[in-house]
Amino acid sequence: MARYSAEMNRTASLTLAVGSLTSDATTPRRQKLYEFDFGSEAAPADNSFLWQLQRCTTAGTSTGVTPTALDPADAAALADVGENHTITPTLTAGAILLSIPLNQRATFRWVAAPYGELVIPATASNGIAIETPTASLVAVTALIHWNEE
Amino acid sequence: MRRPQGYIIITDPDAPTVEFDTITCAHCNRIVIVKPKEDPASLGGFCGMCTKYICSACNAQGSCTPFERKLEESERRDRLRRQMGL
Repeated sequence: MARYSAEMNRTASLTLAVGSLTSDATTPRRQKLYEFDFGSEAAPADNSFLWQLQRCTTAGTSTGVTPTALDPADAAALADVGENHTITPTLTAGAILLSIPLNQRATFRWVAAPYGELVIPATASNGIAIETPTASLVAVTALIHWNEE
Repeated sequence: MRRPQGYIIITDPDAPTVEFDTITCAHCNRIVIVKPKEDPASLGGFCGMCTKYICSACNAQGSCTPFERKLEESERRDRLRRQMGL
């Protein structure tokens, strides 16, 4: 069970995902998301954001991100991570795992205790998308950590 | 709360840092934020079948379908689909 991290960046969009973590289409493995951090590195301003984590069944079209193994001895991650989507992932209705309103100036961090992780099934292209349905069009960053089983 | 399943920290330069415990619903895997001194009934419930915390939406359903079972069903369907070459 190896741990990985990935950072996703984009100019916030109301309709396109900031990033996504999905099981690989040909070699799916179960993923357990145990930490994520959201924020904006743009000039401080009082703008409202709504950050959502929602399950998805496809990865959409995005710029690929290479996950970093937290232990350099571990093999490369099989999970697919994308940022700056041009076609948003296919979202599962009613499967919003977290919805957080946030000021642009604020930074959000969630860490899971053991057995509290968000689990992505070992099903091809299933995963979690990070969205900003309410946002100002400024640079935003999401950082995720997960276990790959 | 005793034994939270997660922890949130919100840092805002113009406001005090805000911290919350969270629980992860055992049926749908949603994150539920536990605010201090919140009425436990508004958070959801405790499933007597799988003996784990669940969110209010799953509590209202009244049935027990652990998330692990949903994962296994999804993975089983996907394996069958790939075995059939679809």
